[in-house]
Amino acid sequence: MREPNPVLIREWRVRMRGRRTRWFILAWLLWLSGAALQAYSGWLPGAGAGSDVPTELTAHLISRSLFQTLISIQLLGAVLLAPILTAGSVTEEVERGGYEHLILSGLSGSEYVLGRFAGALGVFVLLVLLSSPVLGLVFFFGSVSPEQLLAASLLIVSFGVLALGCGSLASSLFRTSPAAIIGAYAIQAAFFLLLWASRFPLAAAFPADTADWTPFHDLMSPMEAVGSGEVAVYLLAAPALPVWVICVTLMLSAVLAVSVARDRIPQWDGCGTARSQLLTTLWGLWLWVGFVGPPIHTLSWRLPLPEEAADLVLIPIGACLCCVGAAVGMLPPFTEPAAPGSGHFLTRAFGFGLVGILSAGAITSVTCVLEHPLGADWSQRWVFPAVLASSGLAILCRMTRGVIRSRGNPIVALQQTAKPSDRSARP
Amino acid sequence: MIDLQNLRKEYTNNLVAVKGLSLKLERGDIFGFIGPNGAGKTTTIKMLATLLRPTSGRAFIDGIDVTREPEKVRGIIGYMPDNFGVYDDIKVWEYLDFFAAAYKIPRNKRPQIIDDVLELTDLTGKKDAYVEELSRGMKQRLCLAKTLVHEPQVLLLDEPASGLDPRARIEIKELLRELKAMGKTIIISSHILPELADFCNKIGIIEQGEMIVSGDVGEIMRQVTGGQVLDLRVVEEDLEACLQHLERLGSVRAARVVDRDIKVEYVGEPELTHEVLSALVGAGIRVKAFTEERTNLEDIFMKVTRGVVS
Repeated sequence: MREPNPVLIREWRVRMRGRRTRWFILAWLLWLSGAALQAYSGWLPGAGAGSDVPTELTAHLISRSLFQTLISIQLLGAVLLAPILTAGSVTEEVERGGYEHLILSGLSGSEYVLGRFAGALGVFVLLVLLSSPVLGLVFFFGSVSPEQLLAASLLIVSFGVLALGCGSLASSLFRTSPAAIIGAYAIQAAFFLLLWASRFPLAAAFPADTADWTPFHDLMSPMEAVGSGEVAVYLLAAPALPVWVICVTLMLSAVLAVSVARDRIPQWDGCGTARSQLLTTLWGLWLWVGFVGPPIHTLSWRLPLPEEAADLVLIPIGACLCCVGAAVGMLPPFTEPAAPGSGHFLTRAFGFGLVGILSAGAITSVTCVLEHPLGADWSQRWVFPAVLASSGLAILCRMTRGVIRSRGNPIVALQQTAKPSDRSARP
Repeated sequence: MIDLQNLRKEYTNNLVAVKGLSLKLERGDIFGFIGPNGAGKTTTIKMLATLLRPTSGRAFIDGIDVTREPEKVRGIIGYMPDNFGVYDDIKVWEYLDFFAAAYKIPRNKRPQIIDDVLELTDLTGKKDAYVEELSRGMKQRLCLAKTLVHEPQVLLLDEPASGLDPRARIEIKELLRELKAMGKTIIISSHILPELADFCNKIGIIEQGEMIVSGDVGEIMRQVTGGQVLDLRVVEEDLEACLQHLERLGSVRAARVVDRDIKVEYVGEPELTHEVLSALVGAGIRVKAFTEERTNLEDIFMKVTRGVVS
């Protein structure tokens, strides 16, 4: 029988019985309870808000108010607290001096990063579960169904998963824990910015007949929703499809973030940046297809522009995103001192550019085929040949020994091969 | 067991940490790696531990190339850096269990292994204690226990006694003696020389990335000092006669009085020091004490590195 991940076992031992965890849970529940009490006290007779409205409607409004308050607090908690749980995954080990022990122990990068991630996720889910009795207060006032509460909890967990993923990624990118925490917030903010800019998933999912729940049409992104505390309103109105869309979006992004983090630990697994570059490129693709492409197309429908014009905008944006992803993946791992000569800016820029552009070319080409079925003249004439050419070139590049089989940074590996003085050191 | 061939490590800022270091150690050797801070000891040990890739040169442990097959090498070495990273909020046995699991030791074998290494490191009584409750010396021993959990043949110990109080140092030294008796090949680095004097059979002195001298401790002692030093105490009235007699012995290069004792620079065969005693007793000198002065690594170090340390 396969043995459980030792890192996960250690994480749960440390996190679940630690005094800090107990105090943290207590503080969290007190905070939630206090917020619920404050929301409820506003509806008490004489408090002003609901004292002069009929009883049934008061109960309905209290329920809604409590639900909004508690969901918003939990979402904020997910966004603000969850990254801290994983931002120290790697950096803490380096700071503590345990990183080398772990490398030598034969533990794989996947085991380590996933173990830390799963351990932190366990704590987060525990917090959500422990919050449910407080959240269950809404049932005393009706108007909120268990399904809606479940959907809300799922959404909170999804936000938490993304935040934890951002923390893991930041931990593999930065040298110190404080920098990693700030980096995790920055990565998360960048992601939310994309969501906000896209105005896609929530807007597309809104049923038209739920407009009577008011600020729906203004709720175009989760970031706005979190900020305004109106996610609960949205959930009450359209519980099924949008939650599913958002959860999948957030979780897939988190999975990619954790995958990149895992692959950025070069000496574990013997894995290299080639794979992490591919994964970050995929992340770029996901962001592009999911969040940037549709609104641009929507724009092209609203403006008197030919569809090809939208693609002319789409392709460079997609290429840029993929290049950013590729560049992040290509950053040399911080744990390994750079090889002599690897710091030359032009060489590195060339490496980033080459691999990024080729990968982006392949991905944009494939996407163009999806966007333009073979029947379209334009795609037949230009896009499809471009697909074949760039995909072939990209695959050829990735199959090149120096890039695909290298351990560690491919550019560094290529330079080391080219440098006569280092040749003897390489296998 | 360990073979370094012209090992070199350069960093990007043109710093050459190790310059063409070569060394051969047999199974069971205890090699003391001596040098001032920044000499290249840690870099060398890290290259052996597969944590740093050499810029050039080769290194083999038990015939396995550390750059080609690092995973195999990691299975037979135990590495303990001076900055031992232990997790405070975990119990002692859990800490060892974690590393045993990481080394893929089957679950049913782990309890026995944990008990064994705890006994070896004299931490059995602390098995259920939290790591944060341990003293620094105990944490150091726990880290050593962790290093031994997968039964490595080679131990790479980087400054194992740094930062410890005298009692903890003595405990660590006792532990290292036990490991020596178990037949482990050990490379131990330190800049505190008396730490190494007792149990190393080979030493290497490194400075500014270069191995100045390496080999058998006695051999180096003879090379550097030109022989051994004998401590002699005689009845005060016989002091002058003793000195005169010693000067006539061919195996004695010089003799001088230090605090009523006589320091004798002996240049004869190491196994024949007793002949000096026999000669003195035969000449009617009343000898109260006769001992070989313990190898003084500090003297060797100062003589070898003189003028090089800036």
